[in-house]
Amino acid sequence: MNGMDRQLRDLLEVTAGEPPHRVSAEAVRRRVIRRRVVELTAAAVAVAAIAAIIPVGIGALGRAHRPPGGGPATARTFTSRHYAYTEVLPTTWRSLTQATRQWNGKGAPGYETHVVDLFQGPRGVQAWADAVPTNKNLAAYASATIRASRAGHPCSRPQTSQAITIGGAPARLLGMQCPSGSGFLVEIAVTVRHGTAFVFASQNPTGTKPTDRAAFRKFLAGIRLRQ
Amino acid sequence: MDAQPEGFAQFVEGRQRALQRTAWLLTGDWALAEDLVQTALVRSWPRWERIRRRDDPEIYVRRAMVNSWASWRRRRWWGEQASETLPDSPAAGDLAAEATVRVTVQSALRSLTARQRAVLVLRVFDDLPEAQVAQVLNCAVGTVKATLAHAMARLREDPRLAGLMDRETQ
Repeated sequence: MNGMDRQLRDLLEVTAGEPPHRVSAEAVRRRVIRRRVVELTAAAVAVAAIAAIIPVGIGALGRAHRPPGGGPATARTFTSRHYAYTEVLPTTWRSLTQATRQWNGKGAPGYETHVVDLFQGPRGVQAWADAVPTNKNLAAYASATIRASRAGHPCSRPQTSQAITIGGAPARLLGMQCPSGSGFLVEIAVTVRHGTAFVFASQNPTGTKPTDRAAFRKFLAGIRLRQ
Repeated sequence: MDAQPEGFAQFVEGRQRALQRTAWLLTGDWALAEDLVQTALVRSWPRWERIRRRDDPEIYVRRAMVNSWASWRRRRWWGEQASETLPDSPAAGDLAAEATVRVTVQSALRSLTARQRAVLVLRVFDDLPEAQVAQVLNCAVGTVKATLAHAMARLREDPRLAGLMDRETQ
């Protein structure tokens, strides 16, 4: 190790400092279990889907055409435990996890945090949702969301900003690249209703696909804000 | 089911601090560093017996850590959680000087490519031999040497970092 290496090492030593928390084997064990539960659930969902598709397929083969007047399709509705909304899931979407605690309104929570409800859509796209009481109006809250996203994640300025509605309430749909210039799209839909800000975000960790925007719009169309 | 593999708890207990500090130098954020270490340990858990028998756990976990970090940089750009406080807030006296060092070194590290930063942290900070760095990064020793040389050359060009080193020398 030469002089510069040693000096640099000393600087890195000072820079690294002390970790604020300990990582324990027990925490790792809990995470291993959580991961297995998710994997098993995904496998069970896949098996259930296959089990559901096979009889339908066989039935379709056995019938020349569907008899008229069949019953309506059963809608799957997700009800958030922590936030005042429900989501009528489009057929290509499913709920992955519920938030385990409420968001405190700070930062811009990502999809892996415990404060968001997480959903899986088609072709890898994901959506997550959280909400927090606010005294801001929609425009001010949308600006705060942009600031938090740019500070917490190296996102670009919004490349698109559209006025939409969510559950009948005026909302703003923002499109950003994170990191800036990466080509990865993050869409964030924000609405404020009766003193509560709702944030619905979407991304595709496997790489942004042309179908992601439409899938997220379909997801947003299923949202109902509770009183 | 999910009983802790033998020796796992001892490894975590003994190495978590060092692993977290390495992870912090890679990510620049304590929450992410903790997450990165946990992710690497979760990946290692199912293979722990084999790792213990055939491999060096330290190498394996560090490799999992660097690979996870590289993969986050490519894909998990939104998986990060914003920290609630700024990493370096103004402070007085020695604390202010320390904060300056941290900001300068962090900024210098950010100017490196992912691989350069990984090589630099593993070789210079963790003091791993070049052969072990090559094992962790799954590349040739020559690649480690060349990458480290490029990283050092780039850092040498950073006037603020050079200023800090000069101060250390005096």
